[in-house]
Amino acid sequence: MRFEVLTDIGRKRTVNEDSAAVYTLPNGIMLAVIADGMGGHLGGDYASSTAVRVIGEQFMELDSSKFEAEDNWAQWLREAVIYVNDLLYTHANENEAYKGMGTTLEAALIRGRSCLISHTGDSRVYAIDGQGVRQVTRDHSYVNALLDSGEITEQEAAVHPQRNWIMKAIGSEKTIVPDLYTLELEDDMYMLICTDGLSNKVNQQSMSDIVLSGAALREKTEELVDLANKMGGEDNISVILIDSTEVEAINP
Amino acid sequence: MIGSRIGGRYEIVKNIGDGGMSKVYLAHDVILDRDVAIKVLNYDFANEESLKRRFKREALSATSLTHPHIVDIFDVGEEGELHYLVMEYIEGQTLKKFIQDNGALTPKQALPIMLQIVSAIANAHHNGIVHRDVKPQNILMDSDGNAKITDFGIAMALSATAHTKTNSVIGTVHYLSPEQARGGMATKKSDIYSLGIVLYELLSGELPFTADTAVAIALKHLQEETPSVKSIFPSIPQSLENVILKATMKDATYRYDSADEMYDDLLTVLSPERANEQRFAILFDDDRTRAIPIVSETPKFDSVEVTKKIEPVKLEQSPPSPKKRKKWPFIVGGIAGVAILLLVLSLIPGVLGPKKAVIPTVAGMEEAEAKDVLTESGFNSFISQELQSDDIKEGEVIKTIPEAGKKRAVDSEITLYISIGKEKSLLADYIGSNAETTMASLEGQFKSIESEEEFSDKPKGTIIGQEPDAGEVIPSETELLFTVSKGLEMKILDNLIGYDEGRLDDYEKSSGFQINIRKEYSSTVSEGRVISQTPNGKTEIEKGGKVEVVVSKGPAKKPDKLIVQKVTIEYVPDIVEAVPREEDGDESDEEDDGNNSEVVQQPAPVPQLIRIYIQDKNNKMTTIFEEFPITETVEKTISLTLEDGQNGAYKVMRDSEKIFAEVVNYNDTK
Repeated sequence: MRFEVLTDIGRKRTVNEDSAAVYTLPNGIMLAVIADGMGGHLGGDYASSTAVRVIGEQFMELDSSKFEAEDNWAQWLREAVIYVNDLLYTHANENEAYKGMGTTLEAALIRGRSCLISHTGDSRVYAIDGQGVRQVTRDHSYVNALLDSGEITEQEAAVHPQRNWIMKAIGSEKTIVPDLYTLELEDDMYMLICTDGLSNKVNQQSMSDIVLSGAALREKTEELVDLANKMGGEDNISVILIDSTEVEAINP
Repeated sequence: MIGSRIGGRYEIVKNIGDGGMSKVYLAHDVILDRDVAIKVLNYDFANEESLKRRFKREALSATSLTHPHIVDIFDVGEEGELHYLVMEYIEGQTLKKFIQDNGALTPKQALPIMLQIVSAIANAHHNGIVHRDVKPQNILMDSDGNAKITDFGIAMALSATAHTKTNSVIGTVHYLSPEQARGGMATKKSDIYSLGIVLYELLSGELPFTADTAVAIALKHLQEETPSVKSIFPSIPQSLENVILKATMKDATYRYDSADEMYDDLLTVLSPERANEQRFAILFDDDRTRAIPIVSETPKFDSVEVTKKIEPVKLEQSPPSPKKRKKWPFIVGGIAGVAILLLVLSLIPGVLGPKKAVIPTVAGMEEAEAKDVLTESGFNSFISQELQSDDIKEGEVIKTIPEAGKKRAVDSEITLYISIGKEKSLLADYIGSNAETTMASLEGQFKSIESEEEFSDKPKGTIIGQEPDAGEVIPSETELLFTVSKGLEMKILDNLIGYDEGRLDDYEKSSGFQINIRKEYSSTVSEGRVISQTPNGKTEIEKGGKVEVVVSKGPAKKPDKLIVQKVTIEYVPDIVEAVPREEDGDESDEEDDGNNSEVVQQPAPVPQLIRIYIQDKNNKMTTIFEEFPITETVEKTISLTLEDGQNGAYKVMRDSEKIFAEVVNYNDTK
């Protein structure tokens, strides 16, 4: 299984408040994390980088031999996210400069073909293969909640001035319940994890065209970021692209 | 930031508020020598030209607004990455804080505030500016209790950025109109909706729609009917609740057409005429839904009575004359059967009835006297009705029906109209209300309305007394006099800097100010003299107000220092005794044997006496600090406590020999 991580400041911002990383244990288990921080002067940058670092540390320290059942993994992931939330929430409340900070957090735990995703906020996980692009996670956005209530239409949602409001973020509330998704990685399938700097700018067709092209994995991530920048680049852009095609080659 | 100067003229004094996207500072404009508030945007505008332009446009358009209840914007500027607005400085608090501190306001307290806010919004609307974020957090209350709206258009302009937000926006959602929640354009009617929510909060002390998340609140704005404030405080007049209901209609077409209309409605909302108003509701038409507000003014009670009484007059006055009846009975009857019946009926009493008599003139008589006179004429059936009259004294008969001079059967019923004097109305208790708005709403209803000002601890402009008191009055004769607070009596505070405590005492007694003294070290002001004062000298402050002065304690003493030094005190035994022992030949054999068998045997060590002397804050060199014997080399820690500038020293004596002596100065060490 191969992956590429790329995070870019975009063309308008002076700070990159996104963070992204992929951690790998010796036994091949992987954790891919992306975070889009928010909150004023220092907070956004701190929130996202701390979230990615701390959940990575948790992951690297864990003794995976104890984790056989799927349930254990889900529980570990949930607890790790809650731990990060507590840490950031406490820090924000004890330090004036960090008050109000928060971050989105996508953490995808990959064991062989099975993938467990913890989702909070409006960063996204897509599964892309020859059949198309499937958005795995659903944004915790204000507009989505209005849409669910039937109060607004898809058309209204698309132009809603508050479509940048999110309902859940790590570090901004005392308690957090992340959404957990499972995904079976199939042959020739790519998993794309990104922040809204990409998903607001690059439509699913372009995403699919780039990801399924014949270019190298690194070039694909660069092309995705370049396209988002070409479309304006108002926000930071982060991408993790995972290619599951070679799963069998590594574990025959 | 504090202490720096921006725009070349604004000296930042202190932070006075934090918003999500901005910080507000009190600053001093050194050119115009006045205090201003500076809102510094906590936003990275770098590379966002369009947003920057939009912000500037919004801010500049708001500078065009001049209204007593809108916070003046003096200037919009940028310095490097810093973008700021220079505004009128309002010493006070936000309306949100005011509500949190005071809880629900009475209708009388809430109304003047509401009138001020609505007039401000109306003014902005006339200038084509929609606020878009009307909420108590954006309304400042100055020390006189006047409300001033701030942040026209700015907050929303900034929120339209790519920045992701969280539930921190909940404060805004509480006042958001349904159309804004849905993502539509904010219009003047959106401001009216928010004003309705603000009125609800003023009257109830709470928000109409609350929930844990922004979206849940937004959904309530979209779906739930505005709750009734009357259900919380039943004493709130329906007319006032109707203002909330009308302003917060989900469909903007049913709201007030303009802030002006809302203002006019508020002006009369507490008037006695509207005391019996029905609940505002909307009826639906067949083909087109249309608002039919049931707010039609209920006519005055008095006039209802008058019309009722006058109706029979008309009937009685119009019967055909007897002459006609006699002359054309059959012709009339031939024309209409109904008329015949009427005629027959009216003829019967004339034919069969008993005696008739002419009604005497009793107008101007007392009621009893009038009845006597009527009885003398043969009448015996009376009804009395009270009626207002400007000409006839109370208790006297105004007129009769049938009128005097008419000939009627003696058993006819005579109605006597008895004067209750001039028109009266109930004068409300206006104490505690805002004078300006009260007087505006009462204008023209009394003979005269005047006001006089007095010093008071009530906010400036508040009615603190009224003459006559609340109760029944004759409006046309009433000269209403309000005593209005002109706020606290102000006095100019002297410059107290340099005063000693004696002079401060004298000044406190003579001026009546309460002087609080705080002491601080100062290297420039001599001990006992005033270094600084708050407020500054020559400032006008309320009589009896508090003045904070800082009195010098003289130069600060630096903290004591602890100096710790380690010394190694060697044991240097006097070996003089041992040497002759070894050279002692007499006992050499025995000694040698002994030495051989016990290899390491040595003579018992002779103790040496160590004396330590210390000169520092607590000790003197003349007395022994510590004394102890040693039989081996020891390490000793010597601690000196030194005051600022003090010299310290220590010495260590081994028996009679001085082995260490050290002088340490406070300033030598770190």
